[in-house]
Amino acid sequence: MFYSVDVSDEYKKAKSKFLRHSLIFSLIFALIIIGDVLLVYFASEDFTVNLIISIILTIIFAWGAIYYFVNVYGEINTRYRFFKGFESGIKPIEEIVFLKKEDELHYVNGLYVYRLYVKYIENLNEKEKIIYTLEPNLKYENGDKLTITTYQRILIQAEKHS
Amino acid sequence: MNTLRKERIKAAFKYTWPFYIISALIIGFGLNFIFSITHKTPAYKTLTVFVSGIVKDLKAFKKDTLAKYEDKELKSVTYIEADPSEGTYYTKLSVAGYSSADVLIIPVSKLENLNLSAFALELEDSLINEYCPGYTFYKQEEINYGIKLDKSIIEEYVYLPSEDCYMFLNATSVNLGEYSKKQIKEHDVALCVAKDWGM
Repeated sequence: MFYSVDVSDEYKKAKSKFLRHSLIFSLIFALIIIGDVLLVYFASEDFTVNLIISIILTIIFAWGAIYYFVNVYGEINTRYRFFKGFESGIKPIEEIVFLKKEDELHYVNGLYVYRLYVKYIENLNEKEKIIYTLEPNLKYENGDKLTITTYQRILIQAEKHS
Repeated sequence: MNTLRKERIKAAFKYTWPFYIISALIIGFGLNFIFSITHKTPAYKTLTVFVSGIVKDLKAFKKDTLAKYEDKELKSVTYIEADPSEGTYYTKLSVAGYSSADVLIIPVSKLENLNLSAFALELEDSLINEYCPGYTFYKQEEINYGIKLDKSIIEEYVYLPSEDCYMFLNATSVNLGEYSKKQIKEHDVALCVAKDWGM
């Protein structure tokens, strides 16, 4: 049984989303700046109304920007960087024994992933470790022997030994 | 995924909430500063009067003065009040009065210690003939500097000292029409005030 993540496709999707979001944010930012400049430029000596409109608009934008950068853009950016670095990154290939998969989602490197518990042999000692997978329905069972490729502890490829 | 995302947003808000407050404050103060700088009322549309007394009704004083000189493009009136009986009177006069007032109202007892040529406009004959003919003036070294104030005109707004008061025109004012030492010579609201309040 063979499992593989289509990294090139995921990278394309992540890049396109990253660029789309960057462009939209830049456009909104430019609009707000233009709006503020126009409000300042066309204000009369009694500028209270223009000032209030300008403050409200800018605060809404700034709060939206903080929320967006912390919660949305950060996620998109990390995901994009993750797939962008894949080609040149270290991708260890290991022999492991599959133990179990958790159903609970976790957030790692901009990706929503599931935990996998695996067993491996190092210096003739059996050890356990946690890796992650993007796949919600991974079809491996306890005791399956696999050759896996990971990147930043996320399972990219797995092949079951007969 | 949505539950996990909500939890992440909640967790993030715990340490990002100060940014929401700080950003609002910076934006509020910043924009207010920008608007104030770019739309500051020009000096020639502002009349600043240094009053040696206590202003009773500032709002009415400003409103009535603005209404009276509306045709002079006056947009703002500022009164700097200084109680002559206070120890800080001369400091207020020299710091706030000399530097920013167009018209200074000073009681006669306080004039002895002042070098009027340092701040007051010398009242030339042509100015006297045009704006205040027949008025009473205060002289220092045979030069006319002050115009006697008709206290009855502003008494309803200000508690003035019981002695005589004189009005002085600040030599650096831009509201002195052709007598101004600045390049702007079209605005003479300070002279009009001297004309209306003098006697």
